[in-house]
Amino acid sequence: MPFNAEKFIGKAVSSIKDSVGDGKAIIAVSGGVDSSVAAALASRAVGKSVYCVFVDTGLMRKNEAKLVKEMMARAGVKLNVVDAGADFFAALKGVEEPEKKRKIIGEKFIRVFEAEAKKQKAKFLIQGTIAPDWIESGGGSRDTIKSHHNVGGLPEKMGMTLCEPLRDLYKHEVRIVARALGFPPEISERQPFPGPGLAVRIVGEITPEKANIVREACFIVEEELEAAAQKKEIELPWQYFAALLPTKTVGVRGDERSYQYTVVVRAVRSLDGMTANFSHIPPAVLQRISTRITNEIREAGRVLYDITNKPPATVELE
Amino acid sequence: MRTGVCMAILIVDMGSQYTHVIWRTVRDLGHDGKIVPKTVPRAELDEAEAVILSGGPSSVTKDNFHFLPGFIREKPDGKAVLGICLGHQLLAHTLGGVVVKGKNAEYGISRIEVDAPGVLLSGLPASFNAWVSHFDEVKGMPEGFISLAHSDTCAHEAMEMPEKKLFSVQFHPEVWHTENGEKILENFIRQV
Repeated sequence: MPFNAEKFIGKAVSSIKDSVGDGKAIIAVSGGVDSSVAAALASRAVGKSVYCVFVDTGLMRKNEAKLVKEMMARAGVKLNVVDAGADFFAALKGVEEPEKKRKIIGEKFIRVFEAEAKKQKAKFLIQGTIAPDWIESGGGSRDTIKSHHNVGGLPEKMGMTLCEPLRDLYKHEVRIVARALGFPPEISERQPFPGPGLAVRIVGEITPEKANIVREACFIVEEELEAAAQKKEIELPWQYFAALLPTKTVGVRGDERSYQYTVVVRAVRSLDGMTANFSHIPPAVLQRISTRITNEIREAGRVLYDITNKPPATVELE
Repeated sequence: MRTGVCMAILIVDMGSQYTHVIWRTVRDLGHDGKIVPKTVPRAELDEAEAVILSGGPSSVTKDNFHFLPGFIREKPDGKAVLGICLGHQLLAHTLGGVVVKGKNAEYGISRIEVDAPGVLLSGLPASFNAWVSHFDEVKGMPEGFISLAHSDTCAHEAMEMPEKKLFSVQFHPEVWHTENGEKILENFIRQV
């Protein structure tokens, strides 16, 4: 019996009702399909008692805050945006270790939510956590692959009760629920974006400068692959983005020596994110991406295409 | 399998990334999976209609598997067991086979060549892509088992002893990237 969205929606709505009761809840919304679905279920369950918070971490995609706000407005969700960029960059300064970065981000998110919850007198935090988030975060006999900000990145002490209606679902099932809830394709089919944002696409230390480089590179990859998919040159990958390596390499530009960063382009096929294989993007499309990245981003000197599957790699680099 | 009947299947979690994906696939096939930790008491193992042993990061020669080896050795013939990855190695090790660190590890895609489809791989193509993630491997088969398939790096990718309802695979039939993976789990459940 394949996954049944209607049955799931009914069960999830009543379980949110049971746990939140007459209380108030805030919901962490990122603009991705998981948190959007969680928000819609919460609003069905407890209506006006939910308050949607979007945290702008400064590590979002290009135009993301604006885009998400408009997208949510069209879906009838009122978003309250908290601009915490400066805070996130300050906390991440000098930190290179991926798990440490993820834990700092998880804790920052919770502190922002706690502050909002206090203002709203909310006792519950609803999150769009899905199965791979807690599976990869580890625990018991399962190794920690990466601490997802909404699970393994949570601080030990927090002043809210968690409610995670999508815990047993995978991305493809969340999309089925999103379609059943009537979300437009711009939300239901949106490619996954990691909770810690561009932080996990900058290998090593994060700086606002590096965030700008990887943000522009991600934008180019998205534009080019979406255009190629539109022209039927490729099947749109499950997830596609750019990441920045801290390694600089030598180049020559306009007869001058250059010494600039390395950008990794990654595109994968998957169903649920648990396993993935690299997309077989034709060289002509890769060439357009590489030329644009090195022409449009001064700090990018070299472009690599990641040809590793999951396992042994993961989809994101950190 | 009694057609249309929803089977209760115990999924023993030995720490695999894919334990919950086994649960999902079992549900997609119309059955009722229940995930239990590897410390599951013997009585619960004995009561289950079928048991699936997940993969995991540990090694059969180093880790403690609590009541699982005893159950594997003493279970009644009618009770079906499927071992996956570490589960495959645990079946082999417990029943007298040899599990060693492989010469080469296998991660991601692997081409499985079917030598004898047996019950577990029946209806599958002679060769298919599967997803693997392991270092240890079964080098010597336990007595009474038939080796069903191999890959370039691993001699025993699947084995079975149908009269005892013991089945196992080194690769991961539960993940989306394994071609015909669901069919393998279906073949197993049909033996319950």
